[in-house]
Amino acid sequence: MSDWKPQYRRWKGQSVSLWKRRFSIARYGLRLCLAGKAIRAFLFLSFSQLVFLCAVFIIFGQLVTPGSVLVEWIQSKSGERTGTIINGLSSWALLYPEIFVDGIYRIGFFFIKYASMPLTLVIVALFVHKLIAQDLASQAIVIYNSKALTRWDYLTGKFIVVATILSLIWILPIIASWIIGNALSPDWAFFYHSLPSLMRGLLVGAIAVSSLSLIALAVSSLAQKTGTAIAYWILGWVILSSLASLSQFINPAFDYINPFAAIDTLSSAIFRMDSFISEAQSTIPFIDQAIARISDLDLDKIPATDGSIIVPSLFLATLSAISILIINRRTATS
Amino acid sequence: MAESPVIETSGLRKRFGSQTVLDGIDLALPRGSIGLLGPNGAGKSTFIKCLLQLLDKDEGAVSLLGKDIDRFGRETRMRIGYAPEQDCHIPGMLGCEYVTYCGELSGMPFEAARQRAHEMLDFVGMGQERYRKVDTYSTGMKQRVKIAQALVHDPDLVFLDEPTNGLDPSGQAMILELIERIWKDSGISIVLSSHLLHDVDRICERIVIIANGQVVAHDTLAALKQKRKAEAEVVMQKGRDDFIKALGDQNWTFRILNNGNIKVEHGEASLNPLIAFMNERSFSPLEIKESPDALNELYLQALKRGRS
Ligand SMILES: Nc1ncnc2c1ncn2[C@@H]1O[C@H](COP(=O)(O)OP(=O)(O)OP(=O)(O)O)[C@@H](O)[C@H]1O
Ligand SMILES: [Mg+2]
Repeated sequence: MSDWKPQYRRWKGQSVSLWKRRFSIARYGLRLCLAGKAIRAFLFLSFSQLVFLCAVFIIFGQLVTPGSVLVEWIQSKSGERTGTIINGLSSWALLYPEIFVDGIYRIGFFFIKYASMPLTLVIVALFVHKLIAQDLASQAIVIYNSKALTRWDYLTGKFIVVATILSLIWILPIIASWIIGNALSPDWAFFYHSLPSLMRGLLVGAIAVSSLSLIALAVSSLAQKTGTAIAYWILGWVILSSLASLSQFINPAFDYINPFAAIDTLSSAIFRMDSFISEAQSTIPFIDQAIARISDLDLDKIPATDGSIIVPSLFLATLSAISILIINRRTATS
Repeated sequence: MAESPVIETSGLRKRFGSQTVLDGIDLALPRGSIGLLGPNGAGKSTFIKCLLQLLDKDEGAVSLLGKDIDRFGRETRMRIGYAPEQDCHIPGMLGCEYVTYCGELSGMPFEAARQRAHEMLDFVGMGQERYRKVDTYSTGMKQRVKIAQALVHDPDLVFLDEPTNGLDPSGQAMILELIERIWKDSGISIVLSSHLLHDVDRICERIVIIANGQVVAHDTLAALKQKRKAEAEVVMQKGRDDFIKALGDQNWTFRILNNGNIKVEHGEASLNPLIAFMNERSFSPLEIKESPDALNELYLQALKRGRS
């Protein structure tokens, strides 16, 4: 090029804050991780959790509202008799909102984890290599570290990336369905009777998101090549769950080496389904017969609390700490 | 105004296992264009990485732009640019996206970074290739993008680690011209690391020669060139023996080289007295060669030390 004349002009602008710089790492990382059809498809699937929860809460709200659109529709379809039954049922439910409202939200938020867990496994496998492995393989990490950032700023940005995606799976359905369910509910009683369940759901979500994010980052930092990161993630779960199945020979607590088992138990302890059921039994007549009639559910099999918070918490905390150590070692500069 | 040094190190030491790669480097470099010269494996890249905290130093203190890096590393790096030796692009990113992103990482707001990225890509002479993925670039384009990325946030000090590696002669000349402009036009201090004397000789005002992890020489280019030895090599055909005799009478030390030429230590600033002396006695040499300048010699010595 003959007409090329280098021209250097100085830039006199104001620099942005450290958190803005961390967020630009997160923003770019999110864009990168969410690119691709497969991950979008699975995230869409995880929105069906939200749709399902909303549907349950809205239908419940309508059923217990005398004269609501839904109730009238049912009455018009199936005649006066069903209508009377429904009216009876709803007034019965409104007699005990602390059991019914709390119950429906608690059950919804409690069981959602059985969808979140497999979704997490699949979705993280779709982007885990784009977190740190890729930067290690391409030496891009040198660029980050040579800028006005430290390694920990970089890792903070990456943590925000995973945590955001996992929150879409674990936390968004809970918050959004709670808001929508309450907005369309007939009674203020719904609001404060469902609030404890929301808090429980958020607590479980926060624990799951933070520990699983750290594990995903550790797996990503272990891999030398981008392809191996995915293999490590899948193999890791296979190994951890086979190790966990040894617990029946060693010690039941060993089961918690599988983080999902630990999260499962913690969530049972947080939701206290057992105390909820016994409370329901003592408050509402005939409830145990009703339960017995709809299923052969054995009340003793419902996950119990029995102080089981400490052991799984310890396991999760240890696993997170090990993850931090791995990340620290693998991204260390010398 | 007394200028404080842009780079100041004292007792900087770095070991890899049992190998000491930097062995107590003490330097105070003022603003300007600085050439970091040394043979392969001398520790140039390691030195730069220690300054930027890409490697943890084992001992010593470093301050850049007047600030101690152990305390203000991150803030200091906001005003520093770095183009590493090896490829370091982010896969899947377009050239202009990559430079913009680097600007943001250095603390620029997005819009400003994007505008500056295009300016810098123009500056390094990148055309429409900027809209292609960095992975697909040729070596020359990668070098340019690396320089653009180091300059995008308008630093006060830039480290360029072997920026002419893998370039053809015209590409090298272009990059060197560019680097020269960075300092001359805008007063940004540059540190150019190279194992080629030719590169730093052309554009640097100050030279630091590193070999075996130690600073072998450090001075301005002019001063190093001045320090040439007062020696000349005389090629004679006729009257060689008479000339040797005359030299003995004159009390000049000399020695006869293997190729038969005569090396004379004339001890003067220029060759003129020697030429006058030969004219007087009507000796007609075939050639009088000035000794190579000190810089070249120092560098050759450094190369030798590096090999041994
Ligand atoms: N991570 C490392 N682990 C072990 N030794 C290292 C490491 N990095 C560099 N070295 C050693 O340190 C010495 C100096 O390396 P460095 O890269 O600083 O040399 P250099 O002057 O930049 O050479 P070149 O001109 O080839 O780039 C070399 O002997 C090298 O083997
Ligand atoms: Mg090097």
